[in-house]
Amino acid sequence: MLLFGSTKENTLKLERLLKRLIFLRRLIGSLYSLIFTIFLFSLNSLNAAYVSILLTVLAPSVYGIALICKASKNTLQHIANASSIIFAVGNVAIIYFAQDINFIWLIIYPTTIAVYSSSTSRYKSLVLFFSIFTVFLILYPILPSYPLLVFLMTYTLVFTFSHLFSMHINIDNQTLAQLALKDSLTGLQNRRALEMKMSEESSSIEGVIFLDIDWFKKINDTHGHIFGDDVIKALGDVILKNKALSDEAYRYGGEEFVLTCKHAKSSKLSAEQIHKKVQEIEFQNGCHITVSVGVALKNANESLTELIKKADQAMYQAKQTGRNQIVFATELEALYLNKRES
Amino acid sequence: MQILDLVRQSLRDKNAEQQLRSYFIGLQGVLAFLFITPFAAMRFFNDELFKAAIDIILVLGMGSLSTYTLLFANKRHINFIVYVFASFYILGSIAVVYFSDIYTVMWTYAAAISSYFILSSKQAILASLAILISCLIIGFSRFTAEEVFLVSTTFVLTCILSFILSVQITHDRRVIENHSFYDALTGAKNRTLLIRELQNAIEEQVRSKKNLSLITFDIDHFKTINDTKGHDIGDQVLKEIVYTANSLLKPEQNIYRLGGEEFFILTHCNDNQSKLLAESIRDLVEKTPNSSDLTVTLSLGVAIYKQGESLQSWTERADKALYASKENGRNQVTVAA
Repeated sequence: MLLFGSTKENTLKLERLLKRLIFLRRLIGSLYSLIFTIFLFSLNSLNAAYVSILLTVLAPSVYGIALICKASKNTLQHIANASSIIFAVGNVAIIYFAQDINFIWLIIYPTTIAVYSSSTSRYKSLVLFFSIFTVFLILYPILPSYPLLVFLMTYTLVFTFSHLFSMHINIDNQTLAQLALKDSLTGLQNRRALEMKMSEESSSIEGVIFLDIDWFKKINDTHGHIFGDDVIKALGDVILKNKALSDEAYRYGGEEFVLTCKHAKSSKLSAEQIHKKVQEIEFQNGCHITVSVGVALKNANESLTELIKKADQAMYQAKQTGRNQIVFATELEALYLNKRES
Repeated sequence: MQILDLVRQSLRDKNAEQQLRSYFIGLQGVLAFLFITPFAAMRFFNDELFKAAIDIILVLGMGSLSTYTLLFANKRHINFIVYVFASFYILGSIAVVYFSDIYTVMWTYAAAISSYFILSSKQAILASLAILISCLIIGFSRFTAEEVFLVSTTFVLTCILSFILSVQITHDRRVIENHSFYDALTGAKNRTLLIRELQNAIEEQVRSKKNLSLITFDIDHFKTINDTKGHDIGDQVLKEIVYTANSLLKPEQNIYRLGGEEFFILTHCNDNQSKLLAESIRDLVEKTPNSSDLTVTLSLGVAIYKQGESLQSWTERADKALYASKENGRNQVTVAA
């Protein structure tokens, strides 16, 4: 218990820290440019100082305007991507204008990691590669070969590590997004995933299968909740193994499952296959389960939400007329399928 | 191929964070070899034997450590190795600035960023501070004021940004790990964790003979709430009940959700205390006004762990007690025989 007891609170603490840090990051970027502007003015590199002023003012003002206009999260991200590219190009320009200041090229190190930390664009590595190439061209005539070599090598290391950082964050974000849409017990997609799909305007779904375990409450009450969960897990496995490849399976609620099918014909086959295989599952205590299945096929212009409702009603019909059977939403559809088959 | 098997073997008995670290240590060993060896050779041929020796010590030290980490190190070693690796970075940075020419200050950037991959975020901040301060002290006489300014500002910015990135990675990893153990809707622990912790508790009970009791509860007529008010209200009710029940529990007592509307609570109370706890949960949930103006009641079952009982029979007894509460008219507590 101790092993996992504190993890959740630690994570919450981390989350708060992270939010503050991300806010701080915007502040630091401008503050840094501001200090740099003063530094460049004091050394009389006027052109470089102008670029630095631009960097100080541009990013926060664009971001501020976007916030005031209540831009969407996507737009804000695009702005962040664009301003990180501007930051990279601007810093290269500063290096170019302030060539006579020794060690000015050091600013390319934080620039690299700044671009990696705020941009989600796929092209950031490309942008950085070109900027470092430009910096190399600028430095080539002024630096002796030994420092140039050190510069290239250390920069390669910094670049590699920043790249690794952002790669890991990308992978983690993808995993997180997937986890949020997954049902942890069965490994199928969850209700949220189905609702997301329902909100999409055009769907290529031709049929919906609605499954419900018969007498599940009774199973839970007589064999215990842990066994009840085993049943749901086993059913999830059967669905995964017996559905058509193009079908997608969701756990809709407690003991309800939904399959969306891309082909009208596969929906009938999958439904029959799953209905048959469920009866063959053997549990350790000799218990068997059955399912009631409702199938609805798409008529012209029906939305996925309507289809699911129809399949749900068909499933209800199956429950009412004796359970352990498949019922199609309308007799017409069943006829249509039989005709196509013969 | 045998080497790869060894690597896999040594990675398997570490947790996610340690795996990531050993992978980075391995990578940094390779990079150190690739990037420092040419300089060692160059210094050797330039008759700068002392500097070449330092380079070679760095390469050999980091190379052998990373090989050891990837092949043999276990959980406990890795924390130690990480510190040795970090001290290599600090000492190496100091050495290059002290013994070599002024341009080698650039190596410190690579060393600082590297430390964020193997140390925890806070430790890495300390390591990079150590690098910065020692380099400034050593290099102060050789740098001009502008150079000191440039080095310190760019270095600090690099470190802060690396720190933010490494906090983000740690955070994401934790969330991913938590996801397999916590219920997303209510924040209660999930079934995987319930079974694991019940088993642990039974094993510990055999040794310590402490009281162990399981309270299980179920929301009365939850299906009706879901069917008449919709799933959103149902979800809200679940959340509120977990919140209410949690307010009565001590920090070491946890609620587990088994999916659906069934919950478990594991406590170290005796039968009287557990019954009281169960009663107070029932009472509080009944009296707490609900955001959707529904009267929600609970049926509860309590089962005290009997010496030598199996996990299965224990949970079954708790379930039966819950079932008895339901049979007798709901909204009540039953203690299992």
